[in-house]
Amino acid sequence: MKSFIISLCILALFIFGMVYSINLLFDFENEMKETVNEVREYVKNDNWEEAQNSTQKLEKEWGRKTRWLSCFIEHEELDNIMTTLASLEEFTKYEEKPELMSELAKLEKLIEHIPHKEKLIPENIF
Amino acid sequence: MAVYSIVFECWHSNIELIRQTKVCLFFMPKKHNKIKTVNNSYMIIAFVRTIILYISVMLAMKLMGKRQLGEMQPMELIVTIMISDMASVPMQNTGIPLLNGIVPIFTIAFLEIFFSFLALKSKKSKEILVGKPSILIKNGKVNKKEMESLRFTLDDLKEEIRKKDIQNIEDVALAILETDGGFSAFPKDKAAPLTKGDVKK
Repeated sequence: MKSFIISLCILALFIFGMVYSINLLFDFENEMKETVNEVREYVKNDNWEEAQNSTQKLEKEWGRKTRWLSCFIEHEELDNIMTTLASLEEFTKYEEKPELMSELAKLEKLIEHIPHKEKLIPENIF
Repeated sequence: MAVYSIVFECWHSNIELIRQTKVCLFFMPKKHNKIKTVNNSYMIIAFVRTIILYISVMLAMKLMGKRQLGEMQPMELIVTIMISDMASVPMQNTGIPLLNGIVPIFTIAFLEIFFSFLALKSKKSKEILVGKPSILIKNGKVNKKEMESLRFTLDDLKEEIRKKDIQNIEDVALAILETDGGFSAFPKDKAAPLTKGDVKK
């Protein structure tokens, strides 16, 4: 009985953690996508200085989030985002519009993929 | 604290490092602030992860209770193999989050405890989960139907009987194949060895 209660408590803790982490992931997705769209708008208007600032903001945001994201997301996915962010900064610096736009689209997909992978849906289960 | 001391120890002994990855030690006390970041290697990470996973598996096994390997039900054996397999994947691959190993380990432990608890409380659920012992011989007569359903040959049966020091099937009063795969056989009175009780009579 004792072991049953202990294991039940551990399981409850895990379920709480899962729900909490999924909520965090969705918040993260929204925040990051917002900044990505911001960068996209600046680039469309050829406002490179602001675009650079937003890219740096994106990188800072990312730096803050990876600390807890790496606890439950495969590190390969995080590495992909990190690489895209690095190239994003360089493209903004050298004002390469087409490459930057494609990298932004790639980044958006990568960010979208993280919470989508954690969703409790049949595609992910089977 | 253990993690900190391991990393700190390695830093002090100037281990030749493979990769120059910088790892933040959030749990480091203020007096060691100057070594806020240390050079780390794959080996140290694997070492620490192994310790954590080992403790998790140990806890899960402790929760499930002690049983000798030979006395395990088939399902318990599978659970043990599954747990060991789950622990080994994040142990070897540092790209997989540790929680991906720990969560399934404890989920399986919980399910195992839950079903054994259910089997303990209800006879019906025990029959479904564990099964019923099968009577293969009764009063020297072989239950062929049961033997067929268990895919147990006559040679297997004879072999098991011989292991119980009984020569003929006719001498068996009762032979049972237990739920854990063990075999129990009881000889008829005429074939049973002499006991102290018989001598006293």
